[in-house]
Amino acid sequence: MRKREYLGQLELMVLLAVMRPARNAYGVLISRDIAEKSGREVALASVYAALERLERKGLVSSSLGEPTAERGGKARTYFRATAAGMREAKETHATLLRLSQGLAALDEGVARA
Amino acid sequence: MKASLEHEYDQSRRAIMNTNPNVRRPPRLATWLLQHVGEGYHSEALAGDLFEEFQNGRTAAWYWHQTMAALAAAGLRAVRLLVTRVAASALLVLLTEAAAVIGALALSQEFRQICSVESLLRPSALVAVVGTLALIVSVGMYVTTIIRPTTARKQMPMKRRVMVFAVTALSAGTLTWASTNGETRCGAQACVCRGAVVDNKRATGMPHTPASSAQIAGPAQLSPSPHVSP
Repeated sequence: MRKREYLGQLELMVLLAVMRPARNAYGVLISRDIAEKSGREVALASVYAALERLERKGLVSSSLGEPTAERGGKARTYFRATAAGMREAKETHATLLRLSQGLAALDEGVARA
Repeated sequence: MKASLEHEYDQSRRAIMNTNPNVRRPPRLATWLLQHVGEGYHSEALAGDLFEEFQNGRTAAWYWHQTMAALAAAGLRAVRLLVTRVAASALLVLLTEAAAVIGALALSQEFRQICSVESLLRPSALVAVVGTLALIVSVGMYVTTIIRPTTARKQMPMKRRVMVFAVTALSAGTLTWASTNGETRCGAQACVCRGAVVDNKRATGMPHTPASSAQIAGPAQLSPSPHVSP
């Protein structure tokens, strides 16, 4: 079994939000996505901290956009998942599925939700 | 150059703000704190995101909450960086001093193994001389940063610390190698060690080390006039 760094919960959520196709992911969108899907609001600074860790691990890459008036003349930073990021997300997802398979307590929770 | 570019950028940003009357102004102090204290990973993008959300109807309290979270994250990052840097520099100091001690011990061993003037011309002796010079330079560099008065003392850059350590470790290693290769210097020939003529191997058949030879050869066995025999 190869040794690898595991993703934290927030890191995984941010990575999955970044991976959504057909859009340029940036701080606000990622934060909104997480808030909608998880029901918890996450501070933008926490999202950026997670993005920093992901970028350091080579799982996401960033590019600078143009400054716009609606942002007070500040540029957006767009993020996209790298090939390694996609692979890591897939592996983590598969691991979580394998681990949760057959857990009655979890199935009840899903049915109730 | 960089400052003028930043100034230009700030001016264009202000122009954008001033030309649009519908722009809601976020709390100034929070914005200032974000720009000056919360400097960090993509802080510009974070400030823009906060501004954008504020324009979309978020409250000042929300803006302050986000700013505080950003400051906390920046502070945490700074502390983590500081701790890492302090730990790394302390470790480097320790390793440099250990290398210097090893080098000094090897050097003293080297001095004890010097048998004759000719032996100083052998390659290992020349390597030892180079190692000694490097050790002196690196220890000198290290000591000058310590004995400087506290007021004038600046933090030695990490690059220099690493360089001092590398030179000290290399010279210590060289000296250790040279001192352990003392046999090649005195092995084949008879040499004068502490005034005793010891024709090693031929006389005793034992491996020769200058100090032990001198100890083995007691005062009664020593020849009256120390000389080098071929």
